[in-house]
Formats: sequence, structure tokens, C-alpha cells
Amino acid sequence: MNAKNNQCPMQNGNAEILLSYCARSLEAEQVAQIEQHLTACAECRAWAAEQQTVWAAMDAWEAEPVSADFDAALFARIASTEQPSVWQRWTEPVRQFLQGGLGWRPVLSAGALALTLVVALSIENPFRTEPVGQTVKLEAQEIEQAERALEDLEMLRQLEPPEEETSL
Amino acid sequence: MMIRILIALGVVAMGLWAQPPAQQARALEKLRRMAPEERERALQDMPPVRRRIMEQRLDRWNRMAPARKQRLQGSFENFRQMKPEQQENLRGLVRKFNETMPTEKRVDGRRALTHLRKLDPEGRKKFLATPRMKDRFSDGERELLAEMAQNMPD
Repeated sequence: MNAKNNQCPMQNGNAEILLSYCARSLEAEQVAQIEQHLTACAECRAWAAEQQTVWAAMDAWEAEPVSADFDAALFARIASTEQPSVWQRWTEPVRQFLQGGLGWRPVLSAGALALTLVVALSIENPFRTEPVGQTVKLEAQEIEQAERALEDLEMLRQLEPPEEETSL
Repeated sequence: MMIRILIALGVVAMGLWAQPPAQQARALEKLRRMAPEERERALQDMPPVRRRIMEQRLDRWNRMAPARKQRLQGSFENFRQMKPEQQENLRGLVRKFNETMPTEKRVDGRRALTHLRKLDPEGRKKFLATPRMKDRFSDGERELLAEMAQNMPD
């Protein structure tokens, strides 16, 4: 009985090995040990059966196919819900400032930085006469944003389990 | 009073200056929809190496299976909900993972990460202390995996 208890994951607080067993991520040797233990331990057997029901349900679940324009619709929705209105962008810092939500120190720093930028921009190349290509500027900015998004997506891809590589 | 008004104006200017992160997703979608020759023109001024990397990533994204793409978009959204300093921290950790973890260990590292994310902090500690994990990963590598699991988005 003691020997059984010593090996029992539920008794010795090692339930994650049972979790790994149910997730089929254990080595064959460990699987054999757990299966041998399950024949003798009703508590673990019941726990594992419950877990396996969950896994079976997850295996049986199939994602709904997504439409061809899924990406476009999703990104458009993100953009529409998260883009604050011009009014909000104008009023939010003022609202926070007036409500005392911002302390003096960050306000002073931000103000000084903004003034510095305004001055720097106003004195940059004062003799330039040709118009600045607004569209080109925007495109360059957007390319950087897209590059950043791709970089982050790549990072998140790398964090996925290697088994997902089969779906590219 | 004048100073206060100037400071308030400064703060408003900073608010306008800030780039909402949704613009990243919109810019990516715009780039993705461009005709090849249009994209070629848009990217022509980029440094060649950066451009090649970006094109490879865009191509990989375009070819990705819809289910996986959907899952990654979910992760991307969760990632964007994180504070900028948390995002930067995670970027740094992944960079460290790629730079310090030997190639042959990275697959196991990613498997371990997947498992670690399912566990609570106590479970993580126990899992990282198992002989198998100790045999496979150095102390520093296990610490890195723990930190990554803790900082990854859902």
C-alpha cells in the first residue's frame, strides 16, 4: 500500500505527469509505468478517464472553415474597433491631465519633449521649397508597421508547438 | 496658468504623435493585398536583407493554413493587448531563446514551453526540476523557458 502510494501521482502531488500522460507527451517507459499504476489505483484511473474525455472531445472538434476574405474582415474589424476617434485622441490626454490622473513629472517631460519636437521640426531645412511627398511618407511608415507586424507574427509562430509546423 | 496650458498642449501633441497598434495590422493587410509589381515598387527602397526577410515572412503568412492563421491572429491580438514593455520583454526573451538555445534543442524547447503553459507556477517548477528536463536543458535554459512561459500571451 505504501509502495503504491509512493508511486501515486495524485498522492505525491505530481498530477502533471498524469496530465502529460493524457496529452500523450510522455516517453514510452513512463507511459508503461503510468498504465501499470492505473490498473491498481482507482483514483488516478478516474482522473485520467476524465482528462481523456476532454482530450477526446478536443480531438473530435473541428474548426469551422474560414471564409476566403477572413483576413481582410478581421483586420478591418480590428482597425475599426481599436482606432480611437480623432476626438478621443485629442481629448483623452487633456481629460486625464485635468482630472489629475497624470502627475506633474510625466506631464512636464511629455510637454518638454513635444515642444522640442515641434521646434526641431520647424527649424529643419527651412530653405526647402519642394513639397513633401505625403503619400510616399505614409507608405514608408506603413511598410515599417507591416514589417513589425510580420516580425511579431513570426515570433509568435516560433512559440507554437513544433507539431504545428506541418500546417506550415 | 500659461505654463499649464502649454504643457496640456504638449500632452495633446504627444497623444496625436502616438501610433495606435491597430495600424500595424492594417498596414500588413494593405501590403498583403498589393499586386506583386505594386509591392515591388513599395519595397524597392528597403535595405536588401530586411526586404528579403520581410518578403519571406509575408509569403509564409500568405501560405499558412487557415486554421493556423486564425490561431496566430488570436495570439497576435492577445500580444497586442500586452503593455509595450511586456511586448518588448517577450521579444527579448524569444531573441535570447533563438540566440542561445542550440538548434537541436529548440524543438524540445518549444514542446517544453507548450507543456509549461498548461501548468500553474508550482507545476512549472516541478516540471522544470524533473531529471529529464535537467538532463536536456542547462540551468540557464530552464530559467529562460520558465520566464518565457510566464510572459507569453494566451
